[in-house]
Amino acid sequence: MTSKDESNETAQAREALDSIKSMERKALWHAIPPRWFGVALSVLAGAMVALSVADLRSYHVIVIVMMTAVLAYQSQTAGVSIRRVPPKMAGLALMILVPMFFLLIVAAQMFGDALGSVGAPLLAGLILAAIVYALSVHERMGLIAQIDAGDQA
Amino acid sequence: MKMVQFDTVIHAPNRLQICAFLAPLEEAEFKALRQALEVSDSVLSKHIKQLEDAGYVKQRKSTVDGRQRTWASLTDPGRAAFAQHVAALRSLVDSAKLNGGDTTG
Repeated sequence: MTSKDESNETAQAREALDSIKSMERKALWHAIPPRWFGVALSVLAGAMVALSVADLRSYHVIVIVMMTAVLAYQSQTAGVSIRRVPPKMAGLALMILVPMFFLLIVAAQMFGDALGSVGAPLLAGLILAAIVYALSVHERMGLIAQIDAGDQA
Repeated sequence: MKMVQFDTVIHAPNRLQICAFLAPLEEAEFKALRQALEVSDSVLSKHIKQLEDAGYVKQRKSTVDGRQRTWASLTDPGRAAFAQHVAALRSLVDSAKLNGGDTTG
């Protein structure tokens, strides 16, 4: 093989690597969940807590159906599903959300007298909604950082 | 320079791009792949079929609102072959750098 052939082969290899990076980047952009998705999930999670605190558990089924619809719509419209959900982050999110859900219900019920029958569910719902929204923003940022890291590599 | 072993199925530019797009994903819809590659349905189908025949890609069909949608994903052998192919490309570029014949990277 002549040095010219080697040089051509190297240039082609570099071109192929650039093309790979560009396609991986496109795939990750497709996988970034839209803002409305985070907003919808946070509102629904907040509504779930608010309904529990207000002792309106019969309405939970509506929230669950809406959550399922939102998740199904998002997965259908995104056209892609991400492979690498960092297990550590997913575990951490669950470790925050599940206890927080019950803690907020108990706390809101404890402070129900001080906060009022409307204020307590609303406050508890708002707190959980804010946490879920923060997690969704964190996920978006994580994917964007992953794309940026790929650009710099 | 040492000889590197490329995967002949993956080596074609379109198939390499398909594998690269699918690599970070669990699965992707045919439409998303077509948009990313900027190729026609028939070209994409042909390359997906070749990857599928090699056992590198699997397809799944689903019906949403009465319309059939096709999803593609890399199989485990497909992921391994793609990783090996990328490693071969990298080693080629790296060895050129080490030999001092390439300074553009």
